[in-house]
Amino acid sequence: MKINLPEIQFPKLNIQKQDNIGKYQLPSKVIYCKKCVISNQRPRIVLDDEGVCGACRYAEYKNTKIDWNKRDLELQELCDKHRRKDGQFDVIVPCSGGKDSAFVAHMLKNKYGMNPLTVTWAPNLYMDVGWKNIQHLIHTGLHNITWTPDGETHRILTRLSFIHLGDPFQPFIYGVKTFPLRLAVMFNIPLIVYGENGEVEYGGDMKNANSPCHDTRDDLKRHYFSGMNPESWVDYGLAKEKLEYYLSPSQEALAKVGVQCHFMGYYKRWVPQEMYYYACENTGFAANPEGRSEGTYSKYASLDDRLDGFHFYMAHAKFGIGRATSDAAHEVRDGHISREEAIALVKRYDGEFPGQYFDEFLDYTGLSKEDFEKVVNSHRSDHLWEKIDNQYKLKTPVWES
Amino acid sequence: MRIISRLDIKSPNLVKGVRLEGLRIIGDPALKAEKYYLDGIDEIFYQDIVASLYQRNSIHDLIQKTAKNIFVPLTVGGGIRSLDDIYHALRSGADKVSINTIAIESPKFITEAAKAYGSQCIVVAVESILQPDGVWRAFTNNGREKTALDVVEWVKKAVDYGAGEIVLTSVDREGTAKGFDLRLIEKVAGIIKVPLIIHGGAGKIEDLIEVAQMNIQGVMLAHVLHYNKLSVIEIKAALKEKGLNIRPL
Amino acid sequence: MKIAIIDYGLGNLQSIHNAICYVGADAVITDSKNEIENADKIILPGVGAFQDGMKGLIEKNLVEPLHSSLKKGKPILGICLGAQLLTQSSEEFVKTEGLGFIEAETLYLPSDRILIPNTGWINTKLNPCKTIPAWLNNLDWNDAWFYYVHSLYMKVSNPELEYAYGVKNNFNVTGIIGIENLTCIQFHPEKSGENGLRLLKNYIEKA
Repeated sequence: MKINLPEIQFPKLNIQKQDNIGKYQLPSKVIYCKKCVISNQRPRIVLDDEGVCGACRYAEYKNTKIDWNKRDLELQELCDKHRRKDGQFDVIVPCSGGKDSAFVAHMLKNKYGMNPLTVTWAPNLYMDVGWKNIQHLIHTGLHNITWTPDGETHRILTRLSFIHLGDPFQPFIYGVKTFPLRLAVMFNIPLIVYGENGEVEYGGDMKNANSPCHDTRDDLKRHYFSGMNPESWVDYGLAKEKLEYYLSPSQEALAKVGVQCHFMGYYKRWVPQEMYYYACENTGFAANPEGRSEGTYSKYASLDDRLDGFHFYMAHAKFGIGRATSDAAHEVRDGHISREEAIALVKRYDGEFPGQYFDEFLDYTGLSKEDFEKVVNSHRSDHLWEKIDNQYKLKTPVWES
Repeated sequence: MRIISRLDIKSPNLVKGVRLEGLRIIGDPALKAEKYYLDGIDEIFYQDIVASLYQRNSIHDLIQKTAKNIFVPLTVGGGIRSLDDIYHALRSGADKVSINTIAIESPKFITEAAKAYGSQCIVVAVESILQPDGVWRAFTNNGREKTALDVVEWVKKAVDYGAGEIVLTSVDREGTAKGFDLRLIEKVAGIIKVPLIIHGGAGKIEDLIEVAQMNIQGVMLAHVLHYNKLSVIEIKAALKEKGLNIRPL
Repeated sequence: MKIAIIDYGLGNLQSIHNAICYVGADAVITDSKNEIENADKIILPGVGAFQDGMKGLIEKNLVEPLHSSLKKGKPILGICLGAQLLTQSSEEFVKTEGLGFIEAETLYLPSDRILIPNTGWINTKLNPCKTIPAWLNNLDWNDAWFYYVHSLYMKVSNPELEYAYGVKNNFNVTGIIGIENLTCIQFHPEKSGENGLRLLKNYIEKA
């Protein structure tokens, strides 16, 4: 449902050409993985001597080398260690209500006998289907705490992140990563279980490929915060106290409870399609009644936030890697489609403009269409884009390489 | 009532999804089709479900291979955009073709195709998704692209333009095995003047018995057959026992 | 045994060919006068519009070889549109003259009695008429279902020439008509599973 947003005072606009090459250390020559469709422009990804990306190598490894029965035993042990029978929560599951978090929460409760507290950092602007999905999940018998951040601050932060980081989703990601930590401390629940480890599943830093968890300080900053912690926004004119609920608890507080963030993807072979089947069958999960999401072919992922498409659209501007590329690359690794099919999908859908919610995005961030375009273009690096007939085109799209 | 097996093809594989999404590879379509034929299926329906997604038209070999061993009607859909495409599909061994996108883009094509090959040959497939406002909208591209068409209105129009048969897919139920969308079927069955085949949701024999009383000419099954939850043999035996008008094995 | 499947530009030739081969005959899809004359038996298949069908037969000069085959007493089997083309006329779209090998007209099914097009499996029964050829009579007609797809039916002027009929919702649909070496089948034996294959096999072996 569309809501009417109040008018608020945004900080003055300051759009400057961004140096994403320097910031993300992007290679100047675009090279695509030989097995999937991801390129070396994805931050932190590495292509090996045979031209294959780390995510594909990890997929081979996880499909052939990992003893998943052993991993399941590890999960059982972990649960045994934390399980409580006194009605108190024993695990926090950060939960959007999507298929992946529905799988994690429902599975932990019903197969592993845990008592999860599902924790939701509210979307910027709800999508109806996402709202229904999480309601369904909760009504299968799960507690939930949903935190909705102060809408004024959140809109300002979203706008600033869009302009300066080229990702309107950064404030949301702060919340998704730090709020569960805050609750872990508050409720004294040491165990947090996320879904997949995006770094290893989609390509990036492989340091946690064989680890069930990530650390709550350095990894957060490097992998999830684009190198910019929430408190850094004071430099852009935000009052420190406004940022309080984006911050991670102190390392001391976390250590005192012994908080650990685990990935379900370490314990279970992570196949998004299987999560979809599980969620359809067990948690009443529904795909998008609108059909596919803009910018990709799938209709079962990212159904929570109306502004979601802009996160992916900006990734396409910054790295030449949009949502269809990420989706298709993962499906190649899962053996669902061939590389040729993936290329066809990327060619057809990647970078498609998320027009459906554009007005709402502009309204949310207080930007004009012209400003929006300026911001997008300020994030386009010259090594990726060229302007032909007044239109930006990728210099080396995957179907021409 | 005809019992029709539907095989979604992503060449060279038989695939299956839930709500036409999350396509799992099931196996070799020709082998499955032959098994269903030998078990006594009344009709086979092949849908190349990625033809328009990948802009390709690649199941002619499969049709040819299948038609050699299967002697019940074979309908083929997916990626058909011209009279020429219809010609090739029929030439390969299909008996009917099923169209969706092109019919929506240009309803006159239904008339042209019916004129050229007879309306009994032209099946219009309707992918239906219930919208939050309570209206069923027609989709294309395997339930991916939404159109402005109201399903009930569109069925009426497609028949007026010459469709010889309607395959009505409830995307909301497809692959869920949670039963047919009876409200949708009732609405469409109430206005239709040509055979209506329903698809999406069959999970158990009772579901089939329930719809057999309605104004429909066929049910299309995929999930229950592919995952061996029901066999054609037991379905037919059960329906026959209920005294329903079913071709014997 | 050589079967000529007539190619006049329309229809599901391949399906007929597959079925005939499956039951063990040597079949050729052809529009050549020579091959038709050399064949032991003829099948005139068809899916499509009557007008186009007649046009195809005329343009490909197939009327004469069919006519002379009939005269020679060679078995001719028409299927669906191919069967209708053998009648005197059809009222499909506009009234069009047919080959007239049998005294029958092709008329629209009455839409107040039956859903059009009539598609689906129909329990088909034999009429108790004396002229039915043995190769049809020999088949097992107990609970025999065949696949029909059509909007028009063949109406014979002499009821003795109607060999079989389908019963659908208390309405009788013409199934098979024929006279001497000519047999016109409304349904599709090549699409009627085992029953259809048996019928074709009998035609090949015993007609």
